[in-house]
Amino acid sequence: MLKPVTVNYPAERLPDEFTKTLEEIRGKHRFDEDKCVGCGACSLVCSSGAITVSDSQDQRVLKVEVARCIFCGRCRDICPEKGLELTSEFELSQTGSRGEDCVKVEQKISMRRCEGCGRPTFPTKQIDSVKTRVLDKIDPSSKETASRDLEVYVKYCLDCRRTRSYAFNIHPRKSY
Amino acid sequence: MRLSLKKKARVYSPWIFHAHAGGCNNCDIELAACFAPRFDLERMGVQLRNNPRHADIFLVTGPAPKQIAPILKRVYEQVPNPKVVVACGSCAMTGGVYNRDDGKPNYALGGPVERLIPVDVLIPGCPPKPESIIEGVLLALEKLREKNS
Amino acid sequence: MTPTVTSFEGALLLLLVSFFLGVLYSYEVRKISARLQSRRGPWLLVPKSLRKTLGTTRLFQPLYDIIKLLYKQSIIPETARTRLFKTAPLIALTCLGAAAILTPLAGYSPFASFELSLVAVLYLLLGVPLAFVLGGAVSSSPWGVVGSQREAELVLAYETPFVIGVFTVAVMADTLSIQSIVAAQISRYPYLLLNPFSAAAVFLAIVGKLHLKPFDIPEAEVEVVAGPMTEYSGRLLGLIEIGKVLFTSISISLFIDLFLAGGMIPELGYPLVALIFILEGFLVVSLITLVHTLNPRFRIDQAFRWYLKVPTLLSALGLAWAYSLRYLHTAILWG
Repeated sequence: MLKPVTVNYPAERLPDEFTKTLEEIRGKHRFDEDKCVGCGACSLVCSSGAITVSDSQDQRVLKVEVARCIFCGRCRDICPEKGLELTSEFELSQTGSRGEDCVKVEQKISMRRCEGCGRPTFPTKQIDSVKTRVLDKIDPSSKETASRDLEVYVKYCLDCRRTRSYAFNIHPRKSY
Repeated sequence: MRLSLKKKARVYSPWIFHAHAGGCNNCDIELAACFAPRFDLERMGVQLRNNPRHADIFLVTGPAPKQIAPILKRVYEQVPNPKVVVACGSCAMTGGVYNRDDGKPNYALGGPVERLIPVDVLIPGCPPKPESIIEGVLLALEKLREKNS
Repeated sequence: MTPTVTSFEGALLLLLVSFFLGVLYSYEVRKISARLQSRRGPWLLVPKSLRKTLGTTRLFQPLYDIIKLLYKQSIIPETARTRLFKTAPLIALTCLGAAAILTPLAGYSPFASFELSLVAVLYLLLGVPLAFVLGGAVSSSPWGVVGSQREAELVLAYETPFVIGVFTVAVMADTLSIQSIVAAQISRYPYLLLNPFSAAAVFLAIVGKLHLKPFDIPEAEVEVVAGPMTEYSGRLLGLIEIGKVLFTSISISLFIDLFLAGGMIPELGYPLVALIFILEGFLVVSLITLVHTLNPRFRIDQAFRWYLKVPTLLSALGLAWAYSLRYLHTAILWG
């Protein structure tokens, strides 16, 4: 008889020549706790709307619904901090009767609050990440002005900034 | 746990009917790969029949557009009891990419499968790998064991 | 000339053993065709980590299929003729039960040898396609009607070489009782060696009888959804599957009785004779599976035309050969 090529799944897995393929498989998501800053770029670019960003008083929660995901990898490609990776875990079947019962992956980031109105503004880690990415690399002549303005910016939300824009005097070309 | 002969026979010989509810066909290709030599579902006694009256497991792929929604319900009623419904792929589970930004189904969908017929097993993936489908079928066997009719 | 039953318990036992052997033959068809396609087929030994949930062996997989079907709900279409719909599988089972008792298995038969048992078995085996045609025609679905038309045409095709081949054996043995045919082969040579043409013709006809490729036309999955059995589900389908298993067993037993001396080599004790019968059965089934796996499906008109060419030619050649053996070389057959 011909030797069967069947893999006795689930007692056996695919043989070793498939190891490289198995490592490159796009499976369940995993947020890197340290690297993710909570910017929400993955949610903007998600093809099927599987990643949602919800802000509460002190926390931003990024939730990935694996049920809606099509495993395209755009979220992983666009993450500026390389904080989201698609592991090679693809055995995700489960019993259940609604799509919402399916497994979800979450990431929680702490948020700053506006000092004017108290609403959540930005994740703290995102501010640090902007400082390292932008401030360290701009022209040294404008670096001081920019960092001073940034300190004022991050304290308030957008609406509060608008109401206080005259008092802040932070436009770089204004000269009064 | 000793099974009675009735439940043992149900677990040892499940027959699958594959209902294609309008999708991109990728999940169907992966299902066909499950019956190919590399991953062989016939080892567990599973047969892929094309007649819903002969089937135990009703495997749905694809988001169900509006035109096929009544047909899907009618074919579901033609499967004799006891039966298990498996929603295979992200389109069958939640509508997949065919959703609006606010998460609701778009103008063409008759809903994900759970809005039309009661679902028992969910297999995420786009498309799910044949190993995932085999795992889902094994879970469906466990559900079949619990049904009492 | 009336048949006398020597023991009723023996008849029941023969029926059960026949069914059991048919289950093993069906498993063998699935396993060998899977192995020829480089895949595993139903497990002979389940891997250790799965034994708790999936059992130790799947050797009786066709039996599990039948039991599962018997415990399922039966859906009967509204516009079908219910009484005929439910009776058709029972007709098939009755004919098969009677034919199973009449065919000797490894030399044992609960009937004393009576003339015309061969004719009785041939007639009873015709009841099965009749039941299929009936069941398909009264189930009010176009698939059933087309499937039953194809079944009727296929029966006309394969019955010609089958009947000529079987009666050739009767000519050579000068009797129409299966037990006497077996006895005639024991004293001289098995008829497979004396008349391979008829053996080939009957073999090809059996491939058509069992609905195996290239002749599984009435149940072609892609063309007619399940042919005559489209509307059957649950218990009635279980009865049809029992019928298919018994049909396999009876056809193989008939082939071995007519051409391979029923497994009875003289000087051997009874347990060895039964073992040889079963081994010969597995060998014939493996040849049938080889034909089944390596061929595509014919169209119904191609099958009809082919059956009236090659197997009929072989059976006619076998008949001429049998008559030449009988009248010109009598010493080979008797004497």
